[in-house]
Amino acid sequence: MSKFTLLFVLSICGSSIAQSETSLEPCTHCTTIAEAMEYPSGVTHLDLHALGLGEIPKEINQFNNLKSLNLSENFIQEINFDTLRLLGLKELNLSKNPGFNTLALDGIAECSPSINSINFSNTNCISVSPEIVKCEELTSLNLSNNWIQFLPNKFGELDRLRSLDVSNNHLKMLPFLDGLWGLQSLDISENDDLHLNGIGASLLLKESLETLIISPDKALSKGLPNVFEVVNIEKLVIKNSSIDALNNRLSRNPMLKTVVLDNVKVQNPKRFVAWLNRMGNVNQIEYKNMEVHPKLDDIVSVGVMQFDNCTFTDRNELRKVKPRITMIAHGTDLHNGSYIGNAKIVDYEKSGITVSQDVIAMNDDMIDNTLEPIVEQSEQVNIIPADTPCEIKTENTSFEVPADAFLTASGEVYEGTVKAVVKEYMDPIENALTGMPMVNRTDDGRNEIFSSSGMLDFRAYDDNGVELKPNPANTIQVQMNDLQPSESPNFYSFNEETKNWDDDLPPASSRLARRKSLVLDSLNKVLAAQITGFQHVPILLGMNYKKSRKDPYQLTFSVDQGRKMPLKKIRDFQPVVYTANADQRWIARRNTWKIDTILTDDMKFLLKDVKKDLRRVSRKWGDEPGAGNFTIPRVIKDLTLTPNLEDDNYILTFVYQDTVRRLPVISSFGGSIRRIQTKEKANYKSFKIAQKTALKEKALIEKYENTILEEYAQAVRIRRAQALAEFPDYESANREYLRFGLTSFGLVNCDYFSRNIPDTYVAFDSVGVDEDGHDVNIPYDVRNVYVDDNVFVATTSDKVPVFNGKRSIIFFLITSTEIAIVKGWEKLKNGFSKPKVERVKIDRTDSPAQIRGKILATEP
Amino acid sequence: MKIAFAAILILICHVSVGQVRAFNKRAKELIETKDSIQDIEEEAPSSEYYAFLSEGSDALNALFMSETKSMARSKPDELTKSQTLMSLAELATDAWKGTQYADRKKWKALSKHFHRAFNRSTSKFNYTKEISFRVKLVNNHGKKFYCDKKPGICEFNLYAGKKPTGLTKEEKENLPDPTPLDYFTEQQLVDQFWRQMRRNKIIKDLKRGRYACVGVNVEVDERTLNRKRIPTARVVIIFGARRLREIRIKKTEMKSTT
Repeated sequence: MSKFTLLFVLSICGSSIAQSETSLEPCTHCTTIAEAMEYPSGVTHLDLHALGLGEIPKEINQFNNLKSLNLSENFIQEINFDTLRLLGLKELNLSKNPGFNTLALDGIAECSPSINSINFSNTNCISVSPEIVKCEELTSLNLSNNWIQFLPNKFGELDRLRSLDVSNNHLKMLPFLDGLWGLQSLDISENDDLHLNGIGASLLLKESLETLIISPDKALSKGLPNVFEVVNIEKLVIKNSSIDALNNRLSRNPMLKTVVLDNVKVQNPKRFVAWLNRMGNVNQIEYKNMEVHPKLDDIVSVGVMQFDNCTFTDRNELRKVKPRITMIAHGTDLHNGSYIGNAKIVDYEKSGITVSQDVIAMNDDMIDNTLEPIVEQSEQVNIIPADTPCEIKTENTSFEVPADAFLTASGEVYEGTVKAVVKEYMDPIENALTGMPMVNRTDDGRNEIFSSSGMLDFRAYDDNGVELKPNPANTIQVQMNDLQPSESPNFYSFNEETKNWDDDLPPASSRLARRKSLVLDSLNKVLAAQITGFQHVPILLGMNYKKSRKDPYQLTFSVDQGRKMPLKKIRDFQPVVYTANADQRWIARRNTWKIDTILTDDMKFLLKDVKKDLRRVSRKWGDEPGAGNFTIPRVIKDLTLTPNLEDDNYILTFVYQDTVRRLPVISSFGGSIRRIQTKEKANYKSFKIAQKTALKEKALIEKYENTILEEYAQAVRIRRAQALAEFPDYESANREYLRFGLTSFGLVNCDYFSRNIPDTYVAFDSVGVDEDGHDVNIPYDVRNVYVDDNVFVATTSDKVPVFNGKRSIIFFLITSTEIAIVKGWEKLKNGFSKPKVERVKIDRTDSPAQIRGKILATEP
Repeated sequence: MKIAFAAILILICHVSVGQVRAFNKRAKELIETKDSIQDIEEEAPSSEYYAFLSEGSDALNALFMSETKSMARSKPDELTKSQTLMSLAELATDAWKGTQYADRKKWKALSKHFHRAFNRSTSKFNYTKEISFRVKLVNNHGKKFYCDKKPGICEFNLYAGKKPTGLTKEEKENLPDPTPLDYFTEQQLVDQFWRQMRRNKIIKDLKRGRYACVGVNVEVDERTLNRKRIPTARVVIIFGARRLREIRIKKTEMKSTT
């Protein structure tokens, strides 16, 4: 029995040891840096979402085998890929980092050459760097919910891209779609200015496309333009729009199997159902997040009906739906809705800035933050209800007060009327006059002077005048003008008991100036043609072939559209230029060409495909005025002819489906060799003339693009940068602001430490002289204001710091109604300096702003 | 009668179709993808008889080739021997037998098969002209002749005059030896060759160097031997010309295209 007990105990010990061993195993899927740093080379998946990160952790380069990196829901504003080395990275998620302006991807190809998925949604991004095309392995790109107006044309070089989501942006055209031949899923919904006819034309010959998500224009009552009749899509999702009915031409699309209506208002249910019933090809209809239209019982054509998070106008109709139709219903929302809730915030590591010793000797009251005010700051009183959300606006600040934002002293939610008292301290002179506590005594005994980016005092009182506390569950959000936008301030709240500042989470800066410069930089990289919507439309070429009893097939070309005469001059801004392409026109019009080789199967398939595609695009889709030639996709492009003397033929080159194809051809002249040789010579001569004409035309357009178009584009760039940078459209859009949550009431500031070293010190004598020659007694307390740095410091009169080249105001109180502004000093023999001052009369009823005005009035 | 006529027609068609098939099939096997070019050796025609039965047709082949080159002497570097054209000419003489060589229309109808076969190879020219004719190998001086295998005086059993018939035994014994027909001399054969070339209107272009390559094949027609027929050789000459001969491309353009 004892042996059994021993064995039992041993087994338990063994299992516990095993458990402890497993618990010590380093993680491969880590959620914090600390966890991942235990065994950096073993980490393959790093999930750092919602950690309040302001930048990418420096340790990230140590994870050599990282495959996926999730940095979503943080506060990262830019990434410098040049400093990163993540060679194995496949997936990068940067979504919901709201501070990005441009997706600058310089160096990403060297950093992560095999990256295949980038999620950049919800980042307030305005433009995307063309560097993205260097990610040759990229298969999935999510740029949804941003502010993108232009995407670089180079996107067309992403040959492996399978999924592209550019929904909810401000895109106007997507010319690069022509080059994306492997695309399987495309989401272009909620781009109000996007021209669906052009998109349809671009997608016309894409065989691989499976899913298309769109938001039709309001003007399109049929939902879609006619061109979608022949677009190869299996699943069509219509999203966030209002339609009259479906375009009945979709019934001719044999590929279309599923139609999804996502938050769509069907205005004419009777017509919608009638047209749906005509679509014998559509087997499934899905309704999502919407009120389903009536007349469901009249639907007969589909096999499956699906409802996700829908409501019905008449539920009884559901009982009458044809019994052969399978119905699927999901009560829950399957749609990935927009992000809700706040990101979890944790402390991040302190920066390793080395701190120098205090260099300015302050007086004791300044250090203790107990300096006597000369005047009190004026206050703004607002009476607000505590149980409903409201907004308080002052000159420099706006407070977004949610419901139930106040607690009583006992910790209960206060629901009555609140008297909110706000004082703003936005000027260093006013700070000096009101004796604001501007020193932060750090834990290691240093006294840091604040350089202020903005300070305010918010207090709330109940009906009885009892002070209220903030409710941590419903924090008041403050948006305060940033006095020093170029700096990155921290957030501090004043502790009345310790008379010192407690540091808190840093505020989020609008960084508008930086945003504007970034936007302008990124817009400067966008081509003039893109930014102005300039279209250089080449001729539309058709290529056909005729089977011959002889082996070589005969090729014939047709020219359907384009300018017949070459352009001579483009004087003013022209959004569209139709070119003549004289050389291509010559090749197409002059001869029938014979293929000068034995035809392989590949060649035969190519010729068949071209012929088939040509037949598809040659139909007229221009059901919208002004659609022009641009809506017709060019099946073959860039037709060139080069004589190949080595093999005594010509090499005919053209681009089909983004691939350059070459065919050896000879002209079909018959007759004697003398006739043929003479004709070849004459023809080549005229071809050279046509080439010259085409080159001239090309040069003319290039010149136009570099001059008139570029000038026009530059103006547009500046205008757009201005407009884009002002997002979001607050009243004070042009002002920099700081945004933070008011976690404690009382005095709070957004400041940083001023550590400037004075150029010299001046010791004032006990007596100065005013402008009239009268003596003025110098008090012990002298207040110095450095206007450029927003710094106020009170020093002793025997060691007044002086900064050369900085705008400073030194003043002191003479009497309770008079202050003296130091205008200069005279060096005395005893080493002291005799200040020359100017007297300024003040009244105790004056506001700090008024006194400030008087002080500034003394300046020359 | 109608049935017989139809049967003959079908037979002719079958034979001709069979010949085309044979030509195409062998063209696939023989012709290499890249043409090779050789220089033509020069040979002067002599005044000696050309004994085709002992010497074969190769010497005549080389002679005609050399003569072609001598005609294009103004542009001596232009004309070369193309292996593809040689193979095609050989195939043509081998595969196609019959009246095509005499009937120009029939020969012209065959040109598509030459083109098709020619496209299998990459060569420096893209225009071909095919000529065919027969060359007489024995000279009867325009007089009557007969075929008699008994005397064994000459190799090809052709003798001048009328074949003696209805003679008695004595008369036969007293008969003088028959006069055999002569071979043509090389020079005479060359003259025949030029006559045919002239007829095909090729000399002018040849002289001006419009042709770049040539392929010649001469084959003695065995069906004309040991019969009361003048022995002939079937000759197929295929000329290749560069279509883009007149086009000049500047060096800068060449660089830009490469």
